[in-house]
Formats: sequence, structure tokens, C-alpha cells
Amino acid sequence: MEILKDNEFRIASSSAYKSSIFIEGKQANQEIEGVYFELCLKLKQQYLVFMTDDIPGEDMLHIHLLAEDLSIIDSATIGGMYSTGSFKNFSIQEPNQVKFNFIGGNEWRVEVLEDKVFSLPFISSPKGVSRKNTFHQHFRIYGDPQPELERK
Amino acid sequence: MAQQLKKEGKTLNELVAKKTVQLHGKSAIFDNLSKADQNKVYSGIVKSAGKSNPKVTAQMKKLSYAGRGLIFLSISLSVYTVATADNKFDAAGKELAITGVSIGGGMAGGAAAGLVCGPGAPVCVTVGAFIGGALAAFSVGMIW
Repeated sequence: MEILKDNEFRIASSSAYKSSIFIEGKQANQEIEGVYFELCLKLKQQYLVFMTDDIPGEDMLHIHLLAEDLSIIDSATIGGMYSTGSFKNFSIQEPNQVKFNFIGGNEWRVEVLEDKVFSLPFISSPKGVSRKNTFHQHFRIYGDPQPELERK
Repeated sequence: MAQQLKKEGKTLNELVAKKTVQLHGKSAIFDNLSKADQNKVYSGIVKSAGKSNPKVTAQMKKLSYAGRGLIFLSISLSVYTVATADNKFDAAGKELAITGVSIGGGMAGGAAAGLVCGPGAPVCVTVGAFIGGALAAFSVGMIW
């Protein structure tokens, strides 16, 4: 996995909550959620993009997997109502994983899969992760987010 | 719902650093910016802090539709109760009283919860309205 530099990747806000993306000067054919660019990784012919909302009190992390032609293959969002996070401490675990901190006081891990795998909506992702209600995933998210108050 | 995910808020330094990068590029350093550009960074942070999250707003909209659905369900049940009652006049009065006070109680409960939880607390206000409406309806139901 390779981290794309500024001249290889840029975003342009297309609305208050969405952005158009440009990779090596080429514009994606659709907008993606998020207006603050956090990180873009290139894996083989795909791009893994991390965006946040730029809302300090209720920020969410949007993860998008883009194909070579910049169409969206899969997307997921980490975050929730009344909570917020800060994307930091990311580390790449070759060949296809990235770890980071964002929300929930735990470490999150994203694994990009070779092929899509079957998944059930609502129950196939950790707490705090939302994604389209489809029956397959192209990347998996692992994490064990803690609640705001410890229950005894 | 409000406490299911532990917050990891941003420090002021993080906010300033991120907004500087967003407005002036990755190579920009806040301390090297002009006073006017530094003020733009601060004003950008304030503007961002005032935004609402679109996903949360969309969820709240869906909940408001569910609330309207419940009102129709409640009216339908009242109509059924009156239609199947032996003393329709008495039943209609009781249903009218219960529905009326539950709406009033809901408004009072919601307003009280809003005062306690502060503005921008939709879940707290919803729970307050529910408790206020239910208490008022149960009370009148028991008295009748």
C-alpha cells in the first residue's frame, strides 16, 4: 500500500457534506461523502480514501474504496449521534490492512479484501459502523468501540 | 444511544492544524500565516462547529415520520374503541380526554426536557415528550 501525496490526490468540496475527488488530475465520476481529506492509500489498482465531515462536535469517518476508474466499490461510515472522533495514529499493515484511532477509545482496522464477501446488513459490522444495506463487503472493518460510560 | 460510542474529541491544536491544512494546504504552518489568515482559520473552526451532521439530521427526520405514524395509529385505536363500546358517548369522552392530555403532557414533557438538556438535544426531548404524554394519559385513564 502506498500513501498518495498532495500532487497525486486532491479534493474539492462540491456541497457542505460531499466532495469531488481528483486523483492524478482525473475527476471521479461521482461525489463521495466527507469534506475533510484525511488519507488516501493506493493498493494495486484501487484507492482507499478516508474522509471526515469537518464537524468537530459530531464528526464521522467515511471510508471509500474506489476502483481504478474512480467509481465507488464500497463505502462505510464510523461514528454516531452525540459522539465525535479524531482520525489519528494510522499505520499500514502490509499487504492490505490499515490501523487507526478515531472513536470509541479503541483501535480500528480496515482490511481490503481480494474479492467481495457475503455479509448481512446491520449485524456484520462492529458497533458504530454503518454501511449500505447490501449483502456483500469489499473491505472489512474490525473494532471494539467502548461506550462513553463504563458499565459496572 | 448518546453514550454508545466513547468520544475522542479534537484538541484546539488539532482543530487549528486541520483547518490550516484545509484552507492553506498541507505545507502551511499556522504560526507563519498572516494575522488575517490566522483569523480566517479561527472563523473556519467556529463555522464548522456550528454545522449539523447530515446523517444525524436524516435519522431524526425518519423518527419524525415514525411519530406521525404513531399519531395515526393512536387515532385509529380510539375510533375502534368508540365504535365497539356499549356506551359510545362515554367512550368518546374518555378517548378525547386521554388523547388531549397525552398531547398536552407530551408537549410539556418535551419542553421540560429541553430546558433540562439544553438546546439541540433531540433524543432527550423525544424521551421527555414520551414520558410526559404517557404519564398524563395513564393518569386521566385511571381517574376516568
